Amino acid sequence: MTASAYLSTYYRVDSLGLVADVASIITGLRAALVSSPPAGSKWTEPVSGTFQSPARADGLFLTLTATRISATRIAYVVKDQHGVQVNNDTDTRQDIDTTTGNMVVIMSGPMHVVVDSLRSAPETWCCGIASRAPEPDAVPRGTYFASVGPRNTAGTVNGNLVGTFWVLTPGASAYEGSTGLAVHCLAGRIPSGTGTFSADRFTITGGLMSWPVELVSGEWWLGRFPQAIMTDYQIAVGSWVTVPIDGDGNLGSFRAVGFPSVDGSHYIQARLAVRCG
Amino acid sequence: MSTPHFLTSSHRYFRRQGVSDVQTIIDDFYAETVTNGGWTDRGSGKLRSPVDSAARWMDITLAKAAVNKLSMKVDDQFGTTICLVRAQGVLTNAWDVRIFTGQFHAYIDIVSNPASSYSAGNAECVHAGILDLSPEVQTAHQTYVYGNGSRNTLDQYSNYNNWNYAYMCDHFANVQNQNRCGLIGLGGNGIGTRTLGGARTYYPREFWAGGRGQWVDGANYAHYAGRAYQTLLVDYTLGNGSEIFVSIDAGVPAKFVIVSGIAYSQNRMVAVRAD
Repeated sequence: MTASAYLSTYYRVDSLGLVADVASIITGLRAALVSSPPAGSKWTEPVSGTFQSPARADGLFLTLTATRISATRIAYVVKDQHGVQVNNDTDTRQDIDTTTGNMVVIMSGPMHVVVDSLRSAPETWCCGIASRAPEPDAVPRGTYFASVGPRNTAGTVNGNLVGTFWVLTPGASAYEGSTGLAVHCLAGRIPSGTGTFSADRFTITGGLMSWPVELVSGEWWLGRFPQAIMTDYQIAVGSWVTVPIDGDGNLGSFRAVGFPSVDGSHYIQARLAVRCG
Repeated sequence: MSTPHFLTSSHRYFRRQGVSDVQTIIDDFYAETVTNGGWTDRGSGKLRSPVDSAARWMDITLAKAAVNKLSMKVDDQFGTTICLVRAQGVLTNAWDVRIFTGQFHAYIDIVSNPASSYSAGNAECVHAGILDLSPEVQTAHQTYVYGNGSRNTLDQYSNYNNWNYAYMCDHFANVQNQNRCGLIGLGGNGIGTRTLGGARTYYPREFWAGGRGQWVDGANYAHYAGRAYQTLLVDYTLGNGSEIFVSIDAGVPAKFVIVSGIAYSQNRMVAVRAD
C-alpha cells in the first residue's frame, strides 16, 4: 500500500533558532520556500515578501504575503489563485517575544506552510491547499485554507485553536472563518463521553493514534491538510511523533505544533502535527 | 492500495419479507451462521462464532420471548455476558427482516414499517460483533466483543441504541452501554458527509473501551479498542434499507445495506456489508 496523496508531497522543516525580529521569519520563509526546495517544489517571490506556491498543471496556486508590522509582530495575507483573500480579514498576525525573542520553526512544502512561534504560550500560523484525493484537487475548484489565529489584525489573540480554519463553503461568496474550536475540521473522531468515560487517542495497549486533518464545512468534505495529522492533545508542542504512513512499514515523523486545544470537552481536544521526517 | 482489514472478513446477507414470527428469524439466523457460516452450535441455543487464528470468538444466544419479540444474549470469550437485549416487530404487520452475518459480526434488522426508520416498532435491531484490532495484532487485548439492541429485557425501547452506543467491558469486567464509538465531526459544525464532487464519505465504526486493565492511565479514560468488521458509517440522508456500493479498494466496489433499526447520530447511520 502506498502513502496517501496528502502525505506524498515534498516537505521540509527549518528551525530559525532564536528569533528576536520577525524580519528573520520573512528571510526564513524565503529560504524555506524559494531557495531550498528541489525543482518542482520551489515557490517564487514575484514581489518582495510575497511568495507564490509552485505552478501546477491544474492551475492551483496560492500567494502568501508576509509583512513586518514591528520587530515582534508579523502579518500574513493569503490569496487563492483568483486573488480572493483566504484569511478574509485585513490580515492574520503572529507575535514573538520581546527582548529575547523565541524559537521559530517553519514547516513547509509546495502545498503547505506552518510557522510555529514557540513562545511560552505558542503561536502558530498556517495555510495551504488541501489534497482532495481520490478526487482531483482542482475540480470543481481547489480548497484553500488558512488558520484563523493566532491573532487578528488588531493584534488580539483570536481563533487561536487547533483545527480553526478559513475555508470557502459551497454557495458562499467569500471565505469563512470561525473562532470556535475545529469548526472547519474533523478534530473529533473519538466518543463524546464525559467524566470517567472520556476518551483519548491511545489504544487500549497504549499506542498513540493519529488521523488526517480533514477540512469540512457543514456537510461538505473539503480535503486534507497536506503533510499534517491530528493526534492526541497530550503530545507536547515540539515533540515528534512517528506513525506508519503506508502498509509497507514506512514511518513518518510529525512535529506537534502550537495550536492550543483548550476546549473543556475532552473529545475534541487534539494536537496538530506536521511532517518533519 | 489494498482493502482495509476490517472489510476482509467473511460476510453473508439474507433478507426475508413477510415475516410474522421471530422463530423464523431464529431459524434463518441459524442457517446463515451454523449451516452456512462456519459457526458452531454449543447447545441450548448458544451459537459460537468461528474461532480465529488469535483464538477470538463470541457466543450469541437468540430466543423467542414472544411471537414478535426477539431476544439476543451476547457473551464474550470469558463467558461474561456483554448484553441481553431485544428487538420486536409490530404484531399486525409482516416484517422485512435483514440478517447480516460473518465470522466477526451479526446484525438482525426487523423492519415493520419501511416508511419510518429506527423508531420503536417501526424498525428495530439487535447486533453484536468482534472488533478488528489492526494495525495492532489481534491478540493485543481482550476487550473486543460488543453488542446492543433496541430494547431491554423489559421490552422498553432504549434511548441508547444509536450507533455510537454499545455494550462492552470497561475496566475489567464492568459491562456497560456507553457512548463509545467515535463521532465524526464534533468540532463545531463539522460533518463532511459528501465531497465537493458530490461523492459520499464513509468511515469505519470505531469503538473505545476501558479495557480489562491492560493500559489505564489512572483517569479511567476509555481507549481505542478497534473497529467493527464489515460496517461503515454513512450519510444519514440515505434511505433506510438502501443498498449502496462503496469502493473498498481501487476498482473494487462492495455492496452495503443501511441498517434501519439502529438510530442515527451526528448525521451518520450504519451500513453493513451485503454482497
